[in-house]
Amino acid sequence: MEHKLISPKNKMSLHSYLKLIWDYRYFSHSLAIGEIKNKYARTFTGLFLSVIQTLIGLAVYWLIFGIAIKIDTGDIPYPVFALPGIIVWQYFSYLVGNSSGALTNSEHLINKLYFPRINLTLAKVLPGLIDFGSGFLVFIVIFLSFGVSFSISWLAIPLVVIVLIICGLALGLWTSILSLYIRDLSQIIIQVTNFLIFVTPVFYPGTIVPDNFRFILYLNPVAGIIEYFRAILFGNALPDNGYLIGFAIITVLFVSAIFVYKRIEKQITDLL
Amino acid sequence: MTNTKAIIIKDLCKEYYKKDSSQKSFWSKLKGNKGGQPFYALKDINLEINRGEVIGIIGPNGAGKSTLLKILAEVTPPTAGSVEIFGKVASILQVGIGFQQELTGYENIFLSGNIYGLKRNIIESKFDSIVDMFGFPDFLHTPVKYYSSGMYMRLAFAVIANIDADIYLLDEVLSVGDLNFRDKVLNMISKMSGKGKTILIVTHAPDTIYAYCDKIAILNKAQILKFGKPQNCIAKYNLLAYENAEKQNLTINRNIENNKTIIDNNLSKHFQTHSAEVINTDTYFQGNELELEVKFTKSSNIKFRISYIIKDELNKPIAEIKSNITIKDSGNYKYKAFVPTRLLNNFNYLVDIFVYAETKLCVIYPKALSFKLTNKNKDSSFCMLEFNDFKCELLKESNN
Repeated sequence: MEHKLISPKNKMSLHSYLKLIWDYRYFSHSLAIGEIKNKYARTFTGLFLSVIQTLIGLAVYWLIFGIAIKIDTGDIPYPVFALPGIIVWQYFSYLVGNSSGALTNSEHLINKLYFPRINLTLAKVLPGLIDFGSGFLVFIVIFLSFGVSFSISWLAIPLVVIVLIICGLALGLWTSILSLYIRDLSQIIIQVTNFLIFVTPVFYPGTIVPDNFRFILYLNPVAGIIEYFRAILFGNALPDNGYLIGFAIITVLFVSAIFVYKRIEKQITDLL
Repeated sequence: MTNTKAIIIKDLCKEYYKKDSSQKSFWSKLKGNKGGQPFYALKDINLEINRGEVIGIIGPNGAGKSTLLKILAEVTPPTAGSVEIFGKVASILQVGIGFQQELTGYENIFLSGNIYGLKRNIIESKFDSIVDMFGFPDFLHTPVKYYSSGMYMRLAFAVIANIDADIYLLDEVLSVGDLNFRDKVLNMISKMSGKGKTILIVTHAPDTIYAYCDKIAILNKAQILKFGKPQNCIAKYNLLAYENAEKQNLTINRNIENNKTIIDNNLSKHFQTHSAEVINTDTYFQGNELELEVKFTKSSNIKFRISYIIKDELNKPIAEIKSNITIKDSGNYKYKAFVPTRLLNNFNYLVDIFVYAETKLCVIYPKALSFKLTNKNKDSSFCMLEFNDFKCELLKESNN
């Protein structure tokens, strides 16, 4: 027989909180599946929509940065060089952008059901990965068609994806919390991400940034992820250790976000 | 474990803050400045619910019923006090929660089942019974946004009815859907209580559930007013509803001819009322009759008929007093109806006069009469009629 005590003094341990989140994984899972199906249900292009979006984006950037500005990407053709950055950035901005509404747009669920509120934000991980996956398939096709060869370092790709998810979640969890207090946050996020894409090595290699400005990239965790991702895909030397600063930042943000969620979990209904 | 309690609520309080607007400044929110005046949605609630009981929670709007259920469902935390729950809880605060409009009924069964905490294999094992309850297997692969609202409710309910738990929290589930749906909900409740489940149901319509409840709790102004046997609670609740309700002005329309509502202009021309009166309300004794009287002039040969509608203070019709008497010839008349006072309670009543020409309603005189009964022999003072002295018989029969 289950026994439960509801009391304002009742504090949950971190371990039992994490277990609770795990127990409700089906909940997140079904929300994510629902979101994916809802997104692609009865659309004409279906899953191809995201492929087409990726290709159009790539074509535009290729034209501007590859052909017009002629950014130096070494011996790697520009589209092959740019695409990993684009799909990483797409996933990151998807996760951060959608997380800002994860709690505020689910008021109907929060008001009527019990579940760990953090699972609403965690449910955003999967729908974005669909786009990421389809983008990666496009990458492989382009990669092969330009005659670049695979390297053994591709085995490390899952690691990059995990770090990317944690990075997106760290910021996504924080934006979802803050959007309880700042209702126009989702609008602000759109503006900020539109700006941030240019201080992230999406269209250019991080190495072309002068040394005295490099610290901006070091503080930006997405910059590190893109640089490592490229190094792994193209079998290049790993980027310099300055990027580890960014990873340290997201680790702190991620862990602190979970603690904050644990703390305000119960109050979220009343904060909405 | 031999614990017979399902839920123990101790000194439960929930404090909210009156908000001036939903837009609060970021800094004041962050500083924990809740803004506005605090008030209690629940104050010092103590309740013990035994396993297997069906409990109805009733009360006027804003009494804290939903807040109580939300705390039990862990949707919102209490401000003080504690709740102990023994057993698995299924909280159904809304029917059809988590449905995605674009997805088919089939997909939504799994989706909403998952949201209620049912695992896929459990839903699969109950799938046939869910579809059976839904009743439209042909529409299973149609997106639910094309469903009629009735089908939508039935699907949602079919999922809910198959949730396995020890304690069910139901909020206002009876207020959605038609009579057929209500019937299904009540059926489910009686079936579940037969299996020894504990059920808490919040409702505005205690009349429909009280037969199914073991006990009823009345919440009023954040506190429990009464907790006990349904019959006693329903009487108390009705009384409360009448106390709180907006009452009709009891002063009657002196000049009733000026306040009439004309339904048929041609016919009503021939009918003029002079005065109306209630006689014999002060005294009460067995067999006494109340006289409702109206004086009028009739100026044509059309057949007229008069009936009195007795209403309570809330303007709710209670009874129609009608007769076969038709008025044929023109002239001045006095029409009297005799109402046995034993049928009515100690209460304020209003009377509308309805005038029919042939069979057609042509004029209404609203609030033409009012009267108050003061019957020392009756203790109930709310409006549900009690017929205590009807002809009844008790016969003893032999055993074969």
